[in-house]
Amino acid sequence: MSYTKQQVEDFLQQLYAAKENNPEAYSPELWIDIEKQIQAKLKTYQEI
Amino acid sequence: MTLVASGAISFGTTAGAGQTPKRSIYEELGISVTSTRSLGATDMRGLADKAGNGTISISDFYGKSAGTTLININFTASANNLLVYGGGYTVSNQNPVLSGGTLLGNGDSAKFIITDNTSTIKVQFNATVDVSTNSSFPYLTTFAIRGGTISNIVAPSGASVNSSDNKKLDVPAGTFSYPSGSHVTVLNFSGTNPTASTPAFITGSNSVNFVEASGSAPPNALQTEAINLKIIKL
Repeated sequence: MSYTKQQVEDFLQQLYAAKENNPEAYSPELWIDIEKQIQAKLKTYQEI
Repeated sequence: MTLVASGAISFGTTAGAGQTPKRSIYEELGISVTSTRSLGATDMRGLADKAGNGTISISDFYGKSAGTTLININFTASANNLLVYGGGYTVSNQNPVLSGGTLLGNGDSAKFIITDNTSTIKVQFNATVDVSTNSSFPYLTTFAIRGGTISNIVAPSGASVNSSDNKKLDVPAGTFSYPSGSHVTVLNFSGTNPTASTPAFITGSNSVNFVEASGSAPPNALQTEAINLKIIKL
């Protein structure tokens, strides 16, 4: 399944909201890892 | 299965084969009952919770369980202080710690073991795990050490639960090698698994985070000796 840039940005916003609502839900390194993966996907749109 | 808590116990089947609970250490380890092992072998010490070079005796095996190994893997990538033991898990290739026939569920007990490249046990302890999915970001199921449940710290000598975060383990300076200096290290264990709704570009992994307890971290500190992680469901 492919995702639009907007959908990926929405995932990132969901991540930030989740982190703000419950910072303890993931360990710090997992927050970073997930954010990095989403940012990497976003970057692919910018390179097109 | 668990080894008998008292009475006759043997390496092979001298004390009995196929007993419940088991009386054969080799049966519990899942190896041939005609094997030849020294008490100091890594797997024997691991089962007896007697890592290192300390004295070990046959009575140390009473009541011990080999458990079920969920993951036994060398690190596949490293960046700064984070070692990722198996990554890239997707909906169709799921994290074996959190999926499959035997898996860690919320409240389960597990044994965590890190060995170096000479099969020496560097870190070993037991803990209960929290397994959860964040309702506002429901794309990954996570396991993490449940605070206050780290127990039976077998290795290294002098390791202790971190005083400000009881989900983490402090290990003494010298346990792991840094490019410069010798540092007390704080270890944090966690992992993720994709859920059915996870977009393909978000993957799961198991990781161990190594952070200095105090002081400034040397640049690109890598724990070159920490090469293998085992997570065993007890």
